[in-house]
Amino acid sequence: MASKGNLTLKSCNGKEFIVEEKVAVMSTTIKNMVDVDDSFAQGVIPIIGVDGKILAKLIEYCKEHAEADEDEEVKSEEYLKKFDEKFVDELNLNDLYDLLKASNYLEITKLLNLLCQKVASMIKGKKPEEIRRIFNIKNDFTPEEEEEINRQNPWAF
Amino acid sequence: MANEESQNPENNRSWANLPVEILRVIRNKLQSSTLIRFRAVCKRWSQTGNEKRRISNLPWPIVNTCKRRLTEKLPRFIMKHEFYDPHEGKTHQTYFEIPESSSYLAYNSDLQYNSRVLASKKGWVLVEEESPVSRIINLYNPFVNDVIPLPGTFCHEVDAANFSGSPTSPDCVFFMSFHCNRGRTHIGTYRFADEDWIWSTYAVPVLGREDDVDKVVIKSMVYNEGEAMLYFVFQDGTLGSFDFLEKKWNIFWGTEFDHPIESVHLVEAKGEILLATCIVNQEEDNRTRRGIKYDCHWNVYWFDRSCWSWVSQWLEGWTLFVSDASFLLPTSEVGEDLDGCVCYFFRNMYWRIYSLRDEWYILPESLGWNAVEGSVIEESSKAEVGRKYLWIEPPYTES
Repeated sequence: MASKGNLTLKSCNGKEFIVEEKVAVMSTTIKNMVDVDDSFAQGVIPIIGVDGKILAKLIEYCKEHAEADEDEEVKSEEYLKKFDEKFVDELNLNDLYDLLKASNYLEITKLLNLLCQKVASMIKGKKPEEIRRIFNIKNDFTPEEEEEINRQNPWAF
Repeated sequence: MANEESQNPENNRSWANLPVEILRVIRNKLQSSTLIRFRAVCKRWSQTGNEKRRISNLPWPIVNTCKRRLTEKLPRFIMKHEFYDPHEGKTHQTYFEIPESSSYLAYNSDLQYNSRVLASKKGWVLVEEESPVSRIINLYNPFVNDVIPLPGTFCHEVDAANFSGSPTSPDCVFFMSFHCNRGRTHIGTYRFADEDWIWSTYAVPVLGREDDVDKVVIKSMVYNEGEAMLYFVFQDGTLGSFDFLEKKWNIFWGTEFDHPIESVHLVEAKGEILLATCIVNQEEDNRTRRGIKYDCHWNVYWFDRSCWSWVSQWLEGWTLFVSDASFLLPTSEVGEDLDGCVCYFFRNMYWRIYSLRDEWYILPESLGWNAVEGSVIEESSKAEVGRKYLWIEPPYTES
């Protein structure tokens, strides 16, 4: 049972995390749950489809940013920028994917933007076949469709 | 299975099936050609929305050249367009093969074939092509690899040319002018419904001095759709108009400038007529001892129809891109650093940015262009003769 001002988040594989409310409500989804139903604030909030490893990562991110939002003096913009850079650099592709989906589901807009920026930087300047190789994506265009795409914007390929 | 690719345990998620909301956020962070390639990865990634959009309206520099390619036994001529994408810092090339059936091409292996960009609009470039036999004019779209031939062959070099809108519209009107000796200047107009160009000649009144005759050469022209009026300027800044429907000329004598002008560029923006003039100061550069230093100084004027005179402009909130195709854009669309600036090509080789307020050049950091005197295209191709840069509206990256 979490003490006042704290919330308990439970991952899909049963791991429980006690976090400060201001950290948890960085997620708009959790904020709405707590605002609408007071029982969540006392009990355990199940985070469906997010495992303990990913939930721990999300909490790590939200903690840094919630503290920075509260007191700009403690954590400067520059500090946060460095934290964000390190945060995304340490992710492998599976973690990046799982975090993208989790931050989208939990509506942590700042994190979703950061992760999408990371994906965008991985794509920038690369050819479609290179992008497919990186993300393990099958080319499902027919040769005719592919030709049509090349015909529309030949300069870009 | 033997023929199945081994799965990397660190990459076994289904990236193709990311929720479409996430794919949209990623897509909105991509620019120009990367965005086009993003949509070519797989079907799902291509179906994230299909609205036409541009990241920025910043015009791109473009140049074209003709190359002779000796394949098989006959020489083939290749029209090459090079354009610079400032978002990716990358130069792209597109090639068109000039058809051998073209009657103006004599297949002589010594033949020179030159080309020059005359104007651009809506992603299309109007190109003058010249062989020792004659000249022709064609329209190219380097972004979608399309060419529209225009009728006629011409004996004289084109002084100025322009067109009214997208050449894919049947209403598009083309204009060109040339001069011959004895102070006559000619304007040709063409629409797709016409069989050929329709010509109108203006004979310059006797101006007193012999060399005045040469001054009456049209340097720049723009079409005002609302008035069906073509506006043009002579080298000395004198403004003239040509009524497209009535085929009537009107020269606004007295609109010239008292200082000598190096180049003049007319700009049409929402029915208003603007003029950009460039004065070049040449002086010995003592610091570097590298010979002559050139300083370009720009002035921009708005044409006040009520008193037929030019009114000096600071272009607050606006940015002007000048070349043989000029564009006036709100600064909010191209970057705040460019407020009140003229972006131009110095000696047809380098782009530069001149601030009208500071009366000096500025560093174009906001453009993502990496030097103040950046050469647009790589060093090796710079020496080619007759190259001329033009601004072109950037392509839409989704269609």
